[in-house]
Amino acid sequence: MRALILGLILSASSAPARGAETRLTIVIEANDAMKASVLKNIGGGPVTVREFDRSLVSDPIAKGRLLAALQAGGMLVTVGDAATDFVLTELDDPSVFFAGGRLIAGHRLASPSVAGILGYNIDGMMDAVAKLWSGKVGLAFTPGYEGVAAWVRAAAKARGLSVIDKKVSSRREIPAAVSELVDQSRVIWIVGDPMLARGAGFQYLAERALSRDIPIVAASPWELRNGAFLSIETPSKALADQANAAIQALARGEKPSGPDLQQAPAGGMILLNGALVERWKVQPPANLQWRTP
Amino acid sequence: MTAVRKIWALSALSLALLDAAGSAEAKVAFTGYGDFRLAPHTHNKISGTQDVLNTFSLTKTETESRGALIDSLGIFATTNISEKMQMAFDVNYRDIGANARTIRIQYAYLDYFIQPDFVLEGGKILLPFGYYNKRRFYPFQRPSITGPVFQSGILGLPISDTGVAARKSVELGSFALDADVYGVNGYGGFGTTTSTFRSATLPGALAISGNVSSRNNNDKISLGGRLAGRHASLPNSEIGASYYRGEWDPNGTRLLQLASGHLLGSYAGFEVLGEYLFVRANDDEGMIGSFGHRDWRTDGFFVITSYNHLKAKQMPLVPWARYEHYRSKGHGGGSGAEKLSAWAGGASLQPFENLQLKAEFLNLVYELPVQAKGDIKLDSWGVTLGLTATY
Repeated sequence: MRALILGLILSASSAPARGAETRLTIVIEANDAMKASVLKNIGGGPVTVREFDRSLVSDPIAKGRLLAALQAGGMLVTVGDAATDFVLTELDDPSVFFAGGRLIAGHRLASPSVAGILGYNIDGMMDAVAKLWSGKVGLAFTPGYEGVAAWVRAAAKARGLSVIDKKVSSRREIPAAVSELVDQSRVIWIVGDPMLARGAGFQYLAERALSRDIPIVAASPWELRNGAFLSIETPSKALADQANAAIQALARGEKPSGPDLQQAPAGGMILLNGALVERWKVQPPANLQWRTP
Repeated sequence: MTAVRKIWALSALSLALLDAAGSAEAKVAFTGYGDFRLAPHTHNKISGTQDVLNTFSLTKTETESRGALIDSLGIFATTNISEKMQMAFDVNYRDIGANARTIRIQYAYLDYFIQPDFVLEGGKILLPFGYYNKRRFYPFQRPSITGPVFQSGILGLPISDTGVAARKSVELGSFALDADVYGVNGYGGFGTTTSTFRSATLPGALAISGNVSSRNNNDKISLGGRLAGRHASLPNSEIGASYYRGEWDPNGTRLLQLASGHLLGSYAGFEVLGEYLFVRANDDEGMIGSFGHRDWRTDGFFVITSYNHLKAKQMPLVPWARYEHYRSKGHGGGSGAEKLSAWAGGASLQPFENLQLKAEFLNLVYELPVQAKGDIKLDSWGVTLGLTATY
């Protein structure tokens, strides 16, 4: 009997730990139009789909249940800006592949355990900028967004626009950086770091820029509704297909093709702040397709 | 089995269970809330015949009061023990002054998901009774500051008890059914009494929330269930019925039954929630002095309506209104009835996702009979401001 029990103990402790099997958890908004496309034909290892509703942020019971499930380990795939924002804000150093994230803190983007597809296409946005204005593009970015800054510079250069950039490492640096960019730029471009795109940082930037009639190019429609001038819609179908390909690769235990950080596919509709279009009497050229958010 | 063999067997069993649960580190997610209230004005009037006032050692009074309080602070802890097992508990602090005079474990249970739509629950569970108890009890679940007065103050929310429950959801085409069944220790008598369930004259005995204790006071298990239905074409709508039955006295002979029907409807931004409540207690000597009969029953309802599509400067603004009416009297004899009517209205503003600012007006009329002496009456109205924060 004792030998049998010893054998059981030894076999239990030597068996591969079940928690070590790579599990994939997909966090997607419940009413996401992309859902069916994102989730089609997913095979491979264990995959769990968790629906996310922004309203649960204000419900600590539902939020706790979801966090407990997400913290249980494995790779997370977040689909959509809200799900990406929630996971990257609430979890400590998660392994995340995001699809369609727009508002991401720079230090998260710089983490080796975070990769994904941004919710905006920089080339598409710069096309619109070049059609609307000439002159300097003032770029404000934060640590972690160096790759995005490089894309912005390259896109501007390819369209004959020059860029002056300011790397903002802390909130204290925002006023000086904004002042310099407002003085020297025709249009200001900010990355989707909450330090610049939300709260007091964005409010300060918007006030200074609007007082000088300097348009702001931003990562998401939220900034547009709060004083920015231009953003871009995500091409849902194309992004869903790109996300699906990445998820299928991850479910097979493989790395998704392409670099760790990618732009959204081309083809999204340009979004403009209608009130500012009227106020500044902007006349978008006929070859610029746009709409208000 | 010798002591040594017991140790070996327990060790093997523990390791096997750990292995079955998965050796992944179980992290705990802590979330919580705070509910803060400011009452700029409350007016209370107590009246009745001198005889009935003497019964409660009261005099006719009309008072005004104002003040602030932290109504409750709650911490929720949730952890996944395995892919199919989750543990959750809620610690609630109330009556917060220099200390928290009341610390309550609202619930503490294990959920085991046999399938995503079939779950077993064990521990101190929130009873699946009605709609409000599980979905609107906490201040962050509703736009109002207070809950329905009878359910909150006399029935006592949340109704939670120690036992086990099972929940199964079934989809039948466009219709979805949620079925819950449970077995719990159940309500007991008041304090250490053997024949009193409710009493108007024993301090604290008018509310039955205190009749749930940490253990079963008899050899009977209280049983209950809830059936609720939803239709895919009617989002955020539900119809349901609940039932509880259990013997409350130490001998296990005096029956308590609760029943409820609820209807939640949403259309064009309006939401209406109505709940009917039925309570029947047998052989309760505590209420003979009020109802003139040892069997008594309660019938009552509340209706809450709110409108969810308003915004004030992009902040969700939810106006709401509530009415309730409950009547308790002897069943099969007696005279006199306990009556509670209240109406309330207010609004909730959500400047941030984690913050609600609330304002409320409440008017309450409560009458309690005392046999051969008359009714004691409480008229109360007041304005309350509230702030609910979650994290």
